[in-house]
This record gives sequence, C-alpha cells and structure tokens, in this order.
Amino acid sequence: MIRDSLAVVVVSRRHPERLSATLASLAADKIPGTITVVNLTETSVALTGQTEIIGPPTLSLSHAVDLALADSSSETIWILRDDTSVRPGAFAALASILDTSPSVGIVGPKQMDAKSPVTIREMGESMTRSGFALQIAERELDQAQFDRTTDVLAVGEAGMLVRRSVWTLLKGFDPALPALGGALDFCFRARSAGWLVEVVPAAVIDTAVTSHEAFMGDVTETQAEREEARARAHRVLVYGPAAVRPLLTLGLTFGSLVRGVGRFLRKRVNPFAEWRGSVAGVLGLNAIAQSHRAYRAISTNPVGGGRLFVSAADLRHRRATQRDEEIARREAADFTPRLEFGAPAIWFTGFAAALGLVLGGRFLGATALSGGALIPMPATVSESWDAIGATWSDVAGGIHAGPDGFAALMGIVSSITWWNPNLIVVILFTFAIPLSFIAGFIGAGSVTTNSRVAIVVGAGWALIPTLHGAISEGRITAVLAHIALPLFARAITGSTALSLGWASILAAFAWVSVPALAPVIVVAVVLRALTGVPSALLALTLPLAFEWPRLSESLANPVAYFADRGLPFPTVAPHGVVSLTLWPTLPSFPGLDTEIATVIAFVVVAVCLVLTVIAVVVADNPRVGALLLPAAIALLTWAGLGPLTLATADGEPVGLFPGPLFDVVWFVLLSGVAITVSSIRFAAGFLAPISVALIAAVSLVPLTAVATGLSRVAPADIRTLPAYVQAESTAHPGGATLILTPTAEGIRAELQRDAGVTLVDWTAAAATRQSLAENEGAMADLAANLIVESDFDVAAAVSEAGIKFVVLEALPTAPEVSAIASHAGLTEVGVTDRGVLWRVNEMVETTPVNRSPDLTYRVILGLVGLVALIAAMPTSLPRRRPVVDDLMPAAGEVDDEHS
Amino acid sequence: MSILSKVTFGAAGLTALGLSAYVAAFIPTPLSTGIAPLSTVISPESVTRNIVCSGDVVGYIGDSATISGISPTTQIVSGGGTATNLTADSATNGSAITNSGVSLDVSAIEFGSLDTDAVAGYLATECGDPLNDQWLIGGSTTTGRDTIITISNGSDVEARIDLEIWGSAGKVDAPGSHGIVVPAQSQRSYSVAGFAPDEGSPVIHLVSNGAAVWATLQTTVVRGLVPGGLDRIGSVATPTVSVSFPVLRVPTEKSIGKLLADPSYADIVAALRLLVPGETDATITITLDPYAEGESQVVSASIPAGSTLDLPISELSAGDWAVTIESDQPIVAGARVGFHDPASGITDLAWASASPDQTGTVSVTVPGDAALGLANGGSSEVTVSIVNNGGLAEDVIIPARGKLIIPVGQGVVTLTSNAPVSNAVFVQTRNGIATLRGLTAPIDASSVVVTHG
Repeated sequence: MIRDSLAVVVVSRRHPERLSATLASLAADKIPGTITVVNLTETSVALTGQTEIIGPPTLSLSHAVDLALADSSSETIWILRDDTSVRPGAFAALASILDTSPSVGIVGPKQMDAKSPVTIREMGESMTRSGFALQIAERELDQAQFDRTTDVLAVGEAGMLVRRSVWTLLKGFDPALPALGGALDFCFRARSAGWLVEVVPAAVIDTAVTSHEAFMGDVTETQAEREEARARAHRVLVYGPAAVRPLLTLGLTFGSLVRGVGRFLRKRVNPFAEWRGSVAGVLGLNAIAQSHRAYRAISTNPVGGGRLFVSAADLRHRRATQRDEEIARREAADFTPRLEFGAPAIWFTGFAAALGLVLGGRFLGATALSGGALIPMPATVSESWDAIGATWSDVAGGIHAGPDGFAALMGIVSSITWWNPNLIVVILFTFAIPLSFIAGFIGAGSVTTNSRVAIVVGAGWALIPTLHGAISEGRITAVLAHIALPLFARAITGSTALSLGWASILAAFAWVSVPALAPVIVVAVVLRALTGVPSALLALTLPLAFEWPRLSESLANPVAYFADRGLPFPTVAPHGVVSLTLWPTLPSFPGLDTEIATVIAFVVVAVCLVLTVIAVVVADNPRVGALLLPAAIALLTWAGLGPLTLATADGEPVGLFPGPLFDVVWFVLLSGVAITVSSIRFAAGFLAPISVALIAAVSLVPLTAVATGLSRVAPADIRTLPAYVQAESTAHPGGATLILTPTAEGIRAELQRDAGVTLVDWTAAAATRQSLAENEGAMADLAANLIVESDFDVAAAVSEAGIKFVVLEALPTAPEVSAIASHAGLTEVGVTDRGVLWRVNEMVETTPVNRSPDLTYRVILGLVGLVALIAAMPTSLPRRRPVVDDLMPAAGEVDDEHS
Repeated sequence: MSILSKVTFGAAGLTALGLSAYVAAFIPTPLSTGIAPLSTVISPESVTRNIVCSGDVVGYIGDSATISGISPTTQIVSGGGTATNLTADSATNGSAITNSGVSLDVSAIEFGSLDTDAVAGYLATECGDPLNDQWLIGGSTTTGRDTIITISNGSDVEARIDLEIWGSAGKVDAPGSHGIVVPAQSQRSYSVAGFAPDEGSPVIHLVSNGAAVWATLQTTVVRGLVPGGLDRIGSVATPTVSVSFPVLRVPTEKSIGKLLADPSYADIVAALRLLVPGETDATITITLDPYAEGESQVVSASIPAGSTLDLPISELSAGDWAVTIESDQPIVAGARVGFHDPASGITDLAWASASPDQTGTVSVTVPGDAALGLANGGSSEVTVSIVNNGGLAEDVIIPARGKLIIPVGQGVVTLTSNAPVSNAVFVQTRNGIATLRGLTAPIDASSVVVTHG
C-alpha cells in the first residue's frame, strides 16, 4: 500500500505565505506518511510539526526532493510545492491508481487555479512530435470535459505521486531543466523506461503559479518563451539519435529563426526570444550529452504511441483558437472611430478614374512620357537600380557626388513595373486624378471621420491647379508629393507602429521628391511628437536615410538643398502678393485677362480661408487649427526660397516650383471648406457638390491642359538618342555623344554617355552646381570650335573626351551643319529624329568611369527602409466588428451622413 | 480638450498662417544661393572664314547656249586673300576668299560695268558666306530680261541643290530644279528662264544639302535693241517679319521722267517685291522714311501667301530713302530702283536685298564713293563705331527706329554695334547704280557663348 511508505515533500521557495495553507490542507485530508518541508526561502517558515530541511534558494525542485529523501526509505514520493493546496480525497485518488496498477510509475492530479477554483490550470502534459510542450487542458473551465483522459505522456510536477524506484532509476529530474520542462522530461523518460504515466481527474489540487514561476518568481512572457525554447531544444537533442544531432541543431535554430522573423513581421514584442532560447539550448552540449547518455541507459521502451503526442490537426486547432482570442482582444481594445474607405469613396474613385482617363487619355498606351521637367526613365529596371546610391552622374559631362535620394526613390519605385520602368511614370501621370482623390480622401481622415467631408477634400485635391500645373509641366516630383502629402497627414496623426511606418515612407516620398517640403514635414513630425507621440520622430529616419549624403554635401550651401529634384526646369511661378493666389503659375481662366483671373483666384482663396476660419473657430475642429501651422511653415518656406535661383538648366535660372508648398496650404483650406460646408445641415447636400464644381471650374485651364494639348508632357520614346547611337552604345558601351543645340546667343552643349541621360541621372548635385563640372570646360571649348570653321584639332579633342558621336539639334540647312562638316575626323551619318548626326572616324578609346555605388548608403537605406516597410505592413484584417465611426474625435463637427 | 485651448489652437494657427502670408507677399527673402546660370564664352582657335565671290559678269557669248563669263569684275578684298578659284563649266570663275586675320574682318566685293550691244549697266555686290538655305529676290524672265542664277561652292564637298521658284501666279513647277549638283570648288550658272520662263517677278529659294553655297542672281535688261540694266543680287538667309533696306536712292523726275511714258521702261520705277512663303496671308506695314527733310510715309497692305507681288512705289520724291517692312508673317522682300543719265543715255537698275539686323563687328567693302545707310529697327538706341579705311573710329548713335546715312569712299568700312543694326551701301557711278550690304559671319566665330545642358 502506498499509504504505508509515503514521503510527502513540500518544497517552499517563493510562496512561504501559502505554506501554512498547504500544510493545513494536508492535515485536513489526513495524509499519511512523513511530511518534509524543504525550506528554500532563506527565512523561517511556520511549521506544525513537520520535518524541515533548509536548502539554498537556487536548489532545483529535483535536488530539493533528493535532499528530503536522503534519510527516508519510503517507497513513494508525493511532490508538492508551497503554492499548492490539496483538495480532500486527492491523495486517495492518486494512491489508489498506484496501488492497483503496478505498471503505472507516476500519477498526477488535476491542477486547478487557486484564484479561480473552477478553472483547470493543468491536467497532464504532452508535446508535439517536434518537441513543443503543450498542456492537455489549459485555462479552461472545468466541466469534466477532460475527465476521461487518464493515460497521458506526462504530468506536472505539482502533486506528482511517483514511485521511489522510478525516481531513483531516473535520478530525479534532469538537472539541465531546472526551471521548465523538468516534469515533462521526467515522465517521458519514465515511459521510455517502461512505466505508465496517468493523470487522475478525481485527484484535485489547487496551484497558484506555474512550475516556472514557482522556480523563477514572476517571469515575463519573453522569459517564459525563451526558457520554453531552451527546454524544447534540449528535449529534441536528448531524445533524438546522436548521429543526426547536428542536423537537429540546425533545424532548431533555423526553424526558430524563421518563426522569429514571422513574429518580427507581425511586430510582436521580442520576436527573437524563442530563437535565443533555442540557441542557448543547443549550445548546452555537455548537458545534452550527459542527459542523452542517461536517457539511453534507461530507455528500454521508446515512446512511440502517437496517441500520446499532440497531433498536427489538434495543434492547428489550438493555434486558430489562440489567434481568434488575440484578434478579439485587439478589437475589443480598438474603439477609436476612423474614416473608412466605404462604398461612396469607391464610387467617387471610379468617377475620378473616368475623369482621369478622359483628361489624360493621351498618355494611355505610351511607353514613356517626356516633356517639361520630365525625361524618360532608363529602359531596364537594372539600370534604374544602378541609380540607388550612385555616386556618378552622366549629367554635365559627368559629375561625382554623393548619392541622390530622388534617384534612389525612382530606382525603387520603378521596380513596381519592373518590365518597363517608364510605365510607372505613365501610370502616375494617367491616374494622377484618381490617385489624388484617394490620397485626399484618406488624408481627410486626419481631420474628420465624416465621409462626405472626405469626399469633398478628395475631389478638391484631385482638381486643384497645383496638381494639374505639375502634370502639364511634367513635374513628377510635385505629382508624387501631391499624392504623398495627405496620406502623410493621415499617417502622422496615428500613433501605432503601422501608422508610424507609413508616415516615414510617405514623409520620404514627399521630402525626397520636393526637399522644400522638409521644413513642413519636420514641423508636422515635431508637432506630433509634442502632442503625445514622441516616437513620431522616428518617421524622420527614412527620409534621412535617403538624404543624408545630400544633406551633408549641402552644408556648404544649405539653401541649395531645397532645389526641386529631377530635371531642372524653369518655373513661371508668380512671386509676392500674386503668389498668395496659391497658383503654381499666373492664374488663368478661359476667356479672361490675367488680371481678372488673378482677382478671381484671390477671391477663391479668400472664401476658402473664411470657411476654414469658421471650421477652426465656429465648427471647432482643433485638428484643422493644428494643420494651419505646417501650412504657415509652407508659406514661409516659399517666402524664403521662392525668389531664389536654386538650380540651372540650359543657361537659365531655375527657381522652386511652388505647387507642393501651396498644396500644404490647399489641404488645410480644402479641409476647412469641406468641414464648414458639410456642417450646414440643411444645405450640405447641394453645397458640397457646388464647391467641388467651383474648384473644377476655377482650375479648368490647367485641368484640361493635357486633353487640349497645352501640356508640355507628351508620349515619347524611351530612347532619347538616335537609334544609330543606341545600337553602337549597346555594342560598345562607354562612348559619349555630344549634343549641340543652336541658341539665340550661341550654342548649347551637352554630353551624354551610352544610351543617353535619363531621369535618374539628374542628381541635385548636378542641377545645383555653382561652377562648371570637371569636363564641361573642355566640352564647351570643343562645342564652340566645332560650330565654326577652324583649324581646331577635332579628332584629338573628341577622342580625349571619349566622344563617339556629335548630334546637332537643328535642321540640315542650319549654318552649323557645314561648319561641323568642315572639320576633319567626322563623318555625317545623316538626319535623325534628334537632328543631324556625325560619327567620329577614329576608334575612340573610352576609359570606363567609376560607377560603383555607395554601398554604405545602400545598406543604411536598405535596413531603415526594411524596418519602415515592416512597420507599415498591416498585420490584422480590417475590423469585422462595426464601430460607430460617427463619434467625432472632435466634437462640434456634425455628421449627417446617416441622419 | 477645453474650449479655451481649442480656441487658442485655432487662433495660433490662423495667426501663424496670416503672418507667413504677409511675409510671402511683402518681405524679400534674406537667403541666397550663389547659383547662377552657367555659360562659357569661348573664342575658337584659328578660325577660318571662307566667303565666296561670284566672279565675272556672265552671259551667252554669241549664239552659245552655255553661260560663261563675258566681262571680268573688279574684286576688292580686305582682311583676307583668295584661297581657291572655282571651276565653272569651261573656265574658272568666282573665288573663295579666306581670312588672313580676324574672321569677322574679312570682306570682299566685286563690281564692274559693261556697255555692249547686249548688256549695259553697272553691278556691285558683296561676296558672302556660304549658306545651306537662302533666298534670292529680284530679276525677271520676260522678253528682253534675262536672269542668271550663279551657285558657287567653295568647299571641299559637293552640294546638292534644290530650287523652289515662286512667281506672281504662285509656285512655279520648274523641271530640273531639284538635285542640281555643284561639285566641290566649282560654280554653276543657270538661266532662271529655263525654270520659270516669262516670269515677271521670280523669287528663288535655294536649299543645299551637303556643302553650303553662295548664290547670286544676275539680271540684265534689253529693251528692244537697247541694253539698259545690269545688276547682281546677293542672297537672304531666311524669311523674317521685319525687312530693312537702309538706303535706296530714288532718281529725279528730270532724269527718268521722260522714259516713264514708254511702258518698256516700267521696270526702272522703284518697286518692292514681296513673297509670303508660308500658308497664311500677311498684313504688312511699309515705312518709307526719307533721309532728306520730310514726313515718312506708311503704307499697309495685305499680301497673299504663296505668290510674289511687285509693289511699285512711284510717288517718292527724289533722294535717299530708308525702307522698312513689318509683317505679321515671315516674308522675303527685295527692292528695286532705276537710273538714267540723260547725258550719256545709260539706263540701269539696282536690286537691293534685305539687310539683316546684325550685332557686333561687320566689315563692308565699298567700291567707290557711296552712301552707307544704317537702320536701327529696335526700340532702343544703338551705338555704332565706324572705322573707314583704317582711320579713327567714329561713334554714331542711331535712335530707336532711326536711321543714318554717311558718305564713304572706296575701301573697307568696319562697323561695330552694340545692338542689332542693318546696313547697306548705295553706289552711283557714271555707268549705273548698285547696292550692296556688309554681311557678318552666320555664326559669330570670335566668341561663342556655350550654355551647358
């Protein structure tokens, strides 16, 4: 009989205050045998006549039991902890199994949660075939649903009743697993040695903490995860054959790493805890070897029965349940109303797309666009990628400078249409209207949750002259910024990692395309950081990762940093008072004088401003008030930079294109107009469409510029140099082409290498150069001498510059033609679509330029970009539960959408 | 958020916006970049400028069907020397002249007079820079009138010439006018009558593929059996909306009045020949401005596109006139004046080609005592420094839309202006009259402004 020779061992480590309850419950149940309390608390505990053995607090449970059993000869050991209390009949139920079943070596009770006596804490343990430990029942309301289960792989340490012979044979718990998994391993080995392990549902004990907590005290989830992984790695390597141990080691580390990356992508706390645990586990080589030898020594009956393991299906089921719980928890916490992109928004996006196709239909089907500030992208995506971190630009006869953020951005963006990098530009220009609508709509979410307001903002955003001025002048940077700005406004108002990630990506788009927006972005981010989200400052990391080389280069001439990116193209922006019309050009309406048009544009701005004031003060929307500050900064930036020459092109000064800066002001004005108009309850139904129609009417001229052919942008060939040159440069790369264009004063000279200069070649360093680049002097000399008849040694000059071709952009009857032809060493190829082409007779030796990219830049940009991208990756599905979105974040703004 | 802080927020935002708007509108920026457009002024090394002279007075010797030189002309060259004599069909005629010093200083003219049974009159024309695209306005191919186009190619490569000929009835379908080959260092002459017979007012557009060429028209008049009229006409580079004839001398009523009764002398009446080569009719304003005291006369007219129009200007008083034509479409134009010396009985005419507006240094060589006319078509005054025969420089100021006439003697006159100005020389001798122009190089080779793309 078990009762006759029982040693009850109560290990007291961290909960001595509960010990008396434990002992009382033992007394109440009249447990026979000697009760030994192993006191590891380093304090004295109140005992009621039990034997006390004092040990160090770091002593493992197994060693504590061994210590207690040192002088005992009892046949059975009942292991209890100070946090467990025994319910009446528990011991009897356990003992009866051992009494009646000689093959059962270990039995364990049903553990209930001490704080919630009807909840099962643990009732038998198991694991998957790959070694993951699992509780058979965990945190479930006890409805006797598991009471049919008796034969289990393992039982927990608390309340474990074990035959002394088994304990001695197995030498207790594995010393390598002091904190976690010791009991599982012990039972597994017992089974391997031929014993059965059973859980006894009739035996019930209450436990306050887990075995891990009992050993370690309070542990974080991360610590638990790490310890669990360590135990698992130990288990897998110990039970597995020694021969495949390296393979298993690899599998364990790699598998946990992959899962870690998965958790990282889902933005979990401490995603790599499991990996660190696994690594710690596999590195315990001595312990593994020792445990393995011990295991081999006793293993007579390897555990094979699949029934004892958790099946894959069960595992999947458990995981699905876990996920559901998590989503439910998150959704319960997510009660902030927000603007949803609902059916009306989708309809209006459709309208915008249709309008875009009507107005920009000329661009459809184009392989590339060119004109104004736009020149084609490279023909292949690998050439686009070369621009990321490039330190050499072919512009200006070749220029060495730090990597350019915009070139890198375009290189990355062009990957979206990797088969033709120009297509993304065509798409951007063709679908600028619907994209701007979507951007405006979503951006309006930063000030409202009312979808009518958002539709007015979106429609206005898709129609205003700043966008269409940019489109017709081919200012791709301004178009990108126009789309990115409202989205950035929305993202920066959020506070989650997701919105922060987006804020940083969108800030990069706007900043890198139009550096003049940098002050606005910095102010917006700082404003957000001051109003409760200090981590908003992280949104600046990605723009800085793009721009740090350019920023450090600009220290010498800081103002030049703010020059527009891409191809420099002179602006026709008004300055002074007229610039307050917020038009990127002089205002123009069909059939009206510029003066009258300007007055109308002023009136429009004034009306918008009045409505915005009403929105801020009367309609009481403090977010519009907060947005006014970036708008003010945008105007100040314009005041500072507008009148300056920031770049040069073709001998002309190039100033700032004000569109993106005015966009910031326009966004506030449109928001104010939309909020005020939509608040007029009785009239919103017709005032909203009227205001959109007014905006469309006001910007009619720029809006229809593409359709009426006033736009400078037109479909073009990707090839910018004559096909003959292209073919030659494909066969023998490295050669340069001198392009000469007669001007009123003389001649314009440009050197292009290989297939010609593309959009990503135009770096800010080239556009804002204050003096001639390295080769430009020689180039000018050559150009001037070529277009007059002279004894100049053309052959020597062209071969020194690596020039293989000369193109004169003029009619074949131009006076320069015969002058160029008069020089020895050139052969006229003929008239091409670009002009008259000459080939250099001599074989020109070309010295390849050092085009190696800045690897540091690429690595920094890659890492920061990856982090931003991961942060921006949505990890949850859209909300399933309807939220009352009409609860205003700011009171006073009335929604009558559903009224 | 309390009401107060909301209002504070809004008020602060609005104040900031208002202040920044004020700054944007009224405060000049304190910043600067030091970035300026990049351009380089290059003086090309050892520039060569080749100007081409047409050479002898050409015509038919006896009953010969081929055109050849019938009388030599006198050539005056300054700032250069003959590099090549050009090969005509049977002999050499015409020459290419290369600068010996500064390219803009080379200039040459040729002049000559003839009084034979077939040809009588005086010609003097500048030698010019070869062009790939040029217009010749003047001459006639009606009975008794002959007009010969002489194309001179002084370069080392051949030229393929296409001629387009307009007449009073529109464009002339001229067989053989395309693909005319003028070999390197050669000259070819063709009778315009061969392309456009019996055409009273031809205008020729010459396009050269390959080498640039210098082309001139030589026109002669025989009335009945009396020869009376010889001139050579230089070419104009391109149609323009503003055409200038800085000096034209209208003969006195006493000298030519009696002749005018005879209709065959109709072509000694001053006239303008106009052509709008484009598609759109042009509205022109002709300003006739006398150098003598008197009001300038302004005439407006509508010119149909695509056909030539001879516009007589018979009401002018005798003396020197500056004529300018402003048009709303690019046009080409030539001007004709007549001459008769009742004492010797010599009748002559002169065709003036439009004088281009030129800035900088222009050299003009003058065959003898003549009048140099300068016209400023611009809206601000121009200072011109004039050096006659290496003498001291004399600065003259020509007011906006003004003109100036100065007598000059034989030799080279170098003009240096700070703004566009057009020039012409009117020569009157015992044997007849002629006009010529000082032409600068098509590309200013002394300093080329290179802008950087």
